[in-house]
Amino acid sequence: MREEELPYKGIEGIPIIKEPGSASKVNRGSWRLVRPVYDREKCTKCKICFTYCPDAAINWTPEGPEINLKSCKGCMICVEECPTDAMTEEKEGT
Amino acid sequence: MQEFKNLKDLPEQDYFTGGSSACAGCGPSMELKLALKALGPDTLVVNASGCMTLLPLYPNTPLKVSWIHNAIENAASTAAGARHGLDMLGEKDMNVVVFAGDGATYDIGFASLSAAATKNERIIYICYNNQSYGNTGFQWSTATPYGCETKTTPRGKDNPIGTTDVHKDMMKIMGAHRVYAATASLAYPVDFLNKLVRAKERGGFSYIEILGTCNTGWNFDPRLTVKVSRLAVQCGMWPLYEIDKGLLTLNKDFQELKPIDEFVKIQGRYRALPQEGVEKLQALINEHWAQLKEYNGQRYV
Amino acid sequence: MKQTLVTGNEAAAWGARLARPDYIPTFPITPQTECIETLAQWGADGELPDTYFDKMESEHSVMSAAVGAAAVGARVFTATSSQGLLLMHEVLYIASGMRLPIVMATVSRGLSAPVTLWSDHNDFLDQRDSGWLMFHAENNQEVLDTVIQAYRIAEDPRVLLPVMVNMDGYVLSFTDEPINIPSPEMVDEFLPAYAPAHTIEKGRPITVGPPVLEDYSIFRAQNHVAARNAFEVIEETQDDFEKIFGRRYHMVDEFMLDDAELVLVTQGSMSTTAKAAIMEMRSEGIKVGLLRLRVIRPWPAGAIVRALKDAKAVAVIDRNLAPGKGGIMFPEVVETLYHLDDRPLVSSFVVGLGGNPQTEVKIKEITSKLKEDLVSGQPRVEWNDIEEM
Repeated sequence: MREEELPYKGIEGIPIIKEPGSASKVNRGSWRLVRPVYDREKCTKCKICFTYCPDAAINWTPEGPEINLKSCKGCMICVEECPTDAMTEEKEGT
Repeated sequence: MQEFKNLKDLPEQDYFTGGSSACAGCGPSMELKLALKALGPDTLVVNASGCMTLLPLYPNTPLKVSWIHNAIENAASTAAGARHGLDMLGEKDMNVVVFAGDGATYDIGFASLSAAATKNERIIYICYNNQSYGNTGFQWSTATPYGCETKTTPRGKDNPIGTTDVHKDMMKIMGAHRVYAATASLAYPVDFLNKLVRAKERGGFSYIEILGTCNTGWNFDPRLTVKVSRLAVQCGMWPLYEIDKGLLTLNKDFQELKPIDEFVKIQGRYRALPQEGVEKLQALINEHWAQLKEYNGQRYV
Repeated sequence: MKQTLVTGNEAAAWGARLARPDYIPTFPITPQTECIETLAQWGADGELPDTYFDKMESEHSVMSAAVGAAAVGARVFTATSSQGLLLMHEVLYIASGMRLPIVMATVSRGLSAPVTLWSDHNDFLDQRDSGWLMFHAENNQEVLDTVIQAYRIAEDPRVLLPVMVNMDGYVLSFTDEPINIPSPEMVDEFLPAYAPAHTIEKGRPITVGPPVLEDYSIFRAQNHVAARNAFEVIEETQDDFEKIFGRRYHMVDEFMLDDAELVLVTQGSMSTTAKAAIMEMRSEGIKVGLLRLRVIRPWPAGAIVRALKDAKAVAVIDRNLAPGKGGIMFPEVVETLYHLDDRPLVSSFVVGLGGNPQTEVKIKEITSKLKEDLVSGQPRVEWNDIEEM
């Protein structure tokens, strides 16, 4: 583009992000080699998995944890820390 | 604001979403997520260049609070300017919170941190200490512990130890600034969030240093992030304590520390550390722990 | 109009005071210190009720704090010099990249090593590519006036860029000159309160300073377009300034150029000496004039071409040095004239480094050497202060 054609974009031309939490639409699920699987029967709703998820990929609902597989990178901290085996792991693609 | 009693008592609302480019199992990401629960939506996070700088990547951000990244060595000064700007514009109830790594805190940003603490600026400074320059691929900082191998302190024929320096005692230094200084661990989230509540209530400058457990740099399975963090506390590698106006309080006491060997053997960064190195590391930890026990409840700095 | 004797440092402080900044982070450095001391004393005396005066532990932290405050929508002023300006260098790019309209007075002093306290322009010109708008004042009145104008220009939504207002160390910074200090009411009329649209505030979380990928070029281009938008905004600002205060400044300062065959291109306080020398030379029948570069960024190529197109020979007098290249402004002027069909001969004079005084005698010497060049048709590169080594 010729210099004189460069538009001035005003506030839109300033490098700021105006949409809070916009990364939630980014799919990081493709990073996963294993995925957490939740068993409601074994869950005591202790909130450990919810607290320790580094990507806030576990939402807390009145029924307990809800895994957001778009955000889950498969670190398996929730599986490791679950005291009642309500979280187990499964290989992706199985 | 009331202190939290247990895990179930922590706020359910998160101001942090998924979708960042942080590594799977990232400790500092979890720590920021947890911190924002206590800090709430009216928070400005001032970030120093490091891993966390890549949480937002235009046009996406996992943050639901405001965030500014300036450079690596100036987070405390940037925060001081933001604090006064907000105060002058009548936004006194916004929290200004630094989130900076150990390199940005112990090393290159130390002057700006020390000045902000001396001036008792109303800032909560959180150092997520991953004991290295993590984002550049794990190089030595003055927070790197003895015996740890980094890319700039590699083990070799002439140096089997790796890092031969003993890390800076930053807590003592910050305690000597007569501000609120505390250590924290992601494995003890209630303790961490209560320290943030205390810092917020107290006003003035607070320094909270949380072990920035880094599975990528420390070289362990990401699923162990919480376990490694807990072991660090139990082994005395990362004792939980606070210094307020020079007085020391040990927040998590143990009859006996677990041997450092348990912490060391599950991380690649200590792989091949010879026995003499492990023993020296253990001696350094014992000395520090004995000091904390001795001064618990007393003037420490 | 009432005149008050003030130094250049005090003039900058007055400009800041009248602009009512929210925040002034500071760090001392010779020859700027008097500026921040003046502000500190006013603050202690309750004369700056709308301002938080802060003291930092380095110039790097000064500019960092300025960025932090400007990012939350505060109007910010600061001042520095020399090594301090260089220490800020990293953060200057961040301030302009974030499009924060900070205003800073800079007091030129030569750079170490070796140490000098006196003035040359290397510190200021080292920031040439930092994305800031850059003004260089000739006298103390212009220092004060330009600081006030700088806020109008910086905060204009078409621009949103930080501005540096430079003065020469000692010659201006520590020299009393009689100037007019405008009334606060007049300045309030000229300069409205800052109403930013892109800053951090409660209830509207934004992320400032994120990494970007391929959009980097777009944002850099916006910085460039904004700087070029400043041409229009500077002109409008001068119109309004003249209406209220009765003084007018231009992109470039033209002195006796109408029929000038020989033109000296200068910057800063040396221009006043050169003007005096030119008046004497004019009385001797020498057709010489002067072009003072007032706005360095954006580079006013159009104004420079208009001013120099009819000259026969031009001497670019650089009080600065790019070792291994030469005077810094010389190539900028030459490039600006390159496309003219009938362009003047341009010689380069490197002068006054580390404050070496540029007397009227020296200005006359430059003019006669330029005249020789015009006769010989050979431009020269001359080191004016060095006779033998």
